[in-house]
Amino acid sequence: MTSLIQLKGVSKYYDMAGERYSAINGIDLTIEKNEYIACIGPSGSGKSTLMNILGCLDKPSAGRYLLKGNDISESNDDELALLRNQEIGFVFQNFQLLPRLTAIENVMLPLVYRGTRLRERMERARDALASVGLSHRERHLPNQLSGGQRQRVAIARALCARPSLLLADEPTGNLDSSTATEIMALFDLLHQQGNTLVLVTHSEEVAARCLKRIRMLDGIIQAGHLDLDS
Amino acid sequence: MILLECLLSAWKNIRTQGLRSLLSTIGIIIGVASVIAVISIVQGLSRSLAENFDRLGANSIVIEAKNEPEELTKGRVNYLSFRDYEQIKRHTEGVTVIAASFDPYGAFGIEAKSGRYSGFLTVKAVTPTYQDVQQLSVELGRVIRESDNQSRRKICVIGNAVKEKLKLHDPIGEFLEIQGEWYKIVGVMEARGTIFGVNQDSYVLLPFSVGEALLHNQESESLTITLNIVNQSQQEIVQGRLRRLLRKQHKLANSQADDFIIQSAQQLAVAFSSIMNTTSLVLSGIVGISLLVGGVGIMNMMLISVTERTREIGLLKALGAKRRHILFQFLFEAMTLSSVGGCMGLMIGYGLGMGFSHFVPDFPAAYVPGWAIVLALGFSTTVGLLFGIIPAVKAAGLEPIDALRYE
Repeated sequence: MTSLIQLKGVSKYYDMAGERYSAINGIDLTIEKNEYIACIGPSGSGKSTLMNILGCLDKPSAGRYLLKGNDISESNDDELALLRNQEIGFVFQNFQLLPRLTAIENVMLPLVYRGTRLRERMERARDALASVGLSHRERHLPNQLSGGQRQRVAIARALCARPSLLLADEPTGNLDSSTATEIMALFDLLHQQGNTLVLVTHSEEVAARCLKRIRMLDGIIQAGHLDLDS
Repeated sequence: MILLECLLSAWKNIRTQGLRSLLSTIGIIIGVASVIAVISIVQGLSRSLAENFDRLGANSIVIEAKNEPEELTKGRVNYLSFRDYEQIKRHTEGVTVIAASFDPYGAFGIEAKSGRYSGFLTVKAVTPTYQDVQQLSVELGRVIRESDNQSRRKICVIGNAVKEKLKLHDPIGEFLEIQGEWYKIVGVMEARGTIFGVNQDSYVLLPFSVGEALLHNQESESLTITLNIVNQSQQEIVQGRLRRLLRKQHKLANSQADDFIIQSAQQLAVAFSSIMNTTSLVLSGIVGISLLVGGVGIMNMMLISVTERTREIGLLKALGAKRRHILFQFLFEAMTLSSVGGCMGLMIGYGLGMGFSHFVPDFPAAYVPGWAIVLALGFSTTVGLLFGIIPAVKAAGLEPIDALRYE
């Protein structure tokens, strides 16, 4: 069986003022279905670049990225948009909800770009909100919700599209510690329900809850730091 | 399906930014409002004139003496005489009715009195056939008869508005005094309405012979000859006959130009409506420039909006929006803004036009023809489309990671 994601010698370079700066350098990584991974490292270590590539927001400069066995390195912008829509669910540090849309409308957004009919969109958005415990907040605008509730809406939005991979970038970075714990408990639950999660974080606490940790430094995965909980 | 969503989303964005959206469309609103106001007034006028021309009858022809101002300064005055009238009456085929008329007290009217009241009226001396050519109908009393003409009876027939003007409650049998002469009112004509704000019913008609007597045998008064032809299709043929006859009558050499003008009501109507339409178009063109300025206003607002919503665009792209989805959303926003502005302008302009024609006395009702609505809305939407392209392309071209990272 093919792995969900395979990175083979993936590098990303930026040319700045004639000098080549490499954000990540020759990364090999395999992610299987239903894994629960933390990508941890200090800022500038390349973990955000790795997440952008995993999330099909950016293309590698070199190397191969196989998503469900398909090489996406040569895909064009529209094909990448389609992959993001169907395979990836994003959760951002600052929630990234549209302020003028209600909770349920925010959750529906990915389905809009898939052309799903309104009735089905509503049903699935409602299910997704229920699964993060926010059924009673469907019609609220983001500014009527607490930070933790906003992040739950964002998670519901990611889940709504039933993606192959949930990518969370510092999901607890803007939350107080007790809310952060709640959100982490929700991620644990999602993992138990069979989802594949990759959390990008610099918090050891968050990373500790994941079953596998990738430690990044200077654009490479540090040898001997691919921790596995048994 | 997705396009519809883009449209709905565009509409939502515009509504949430209510005041700013309104301000950005103000140029379009003012532009369209002025175009529509001008067109509604001009077209209302044109329509009411066309109706009046129709009432004159498509089969009627008017002949008048042609007096160029420079000829008049040299003391040369052309006129149509009663002999011309008689000749036409006798020798022209294809004519049903023919009438001669002139203004014994001048073309600008004169004061007439009845009892304590007086008013400024147009006085015409007419052959009895005039009433047929002009298609005047009697409301009260009778028309001028040939016998009145023959016996130079000092009677008159009045237009409908004269009743009001001179406070004549029971006009038949009353007397009108014009410059010391008394005329008995024998008939009141039905109302004809107004042209160009000028009431068409403030007239007094006298028998032709009575008018002639007023001139004291100076034959200088020029006649207006009006006639109806049998068949509309013979319009040109009859006009040709009239021209040849009058040229012969006036002993004009081949090198000389006509000293008279032959016009049909239809020619007048066509000439007039073409002038009106040209006026409408030119004015619309001028005011159309303000629509372009309005377009720049929308483009400015859209460019600001793209910058403000950079993160949002990044997010939508992360969630799977393709280039064209973002492009359409912003294009729709610009087009919706401009066409909503266009609609508002349309209503305001129509309101202004109606207000104008309502408050200016005797002005015909404002009228907005279908083509003006289509033109105004089409043009404003096109302005939105054109000026929306740059912001939309800018939005669609954003890279999702750069946009998401934008602070």
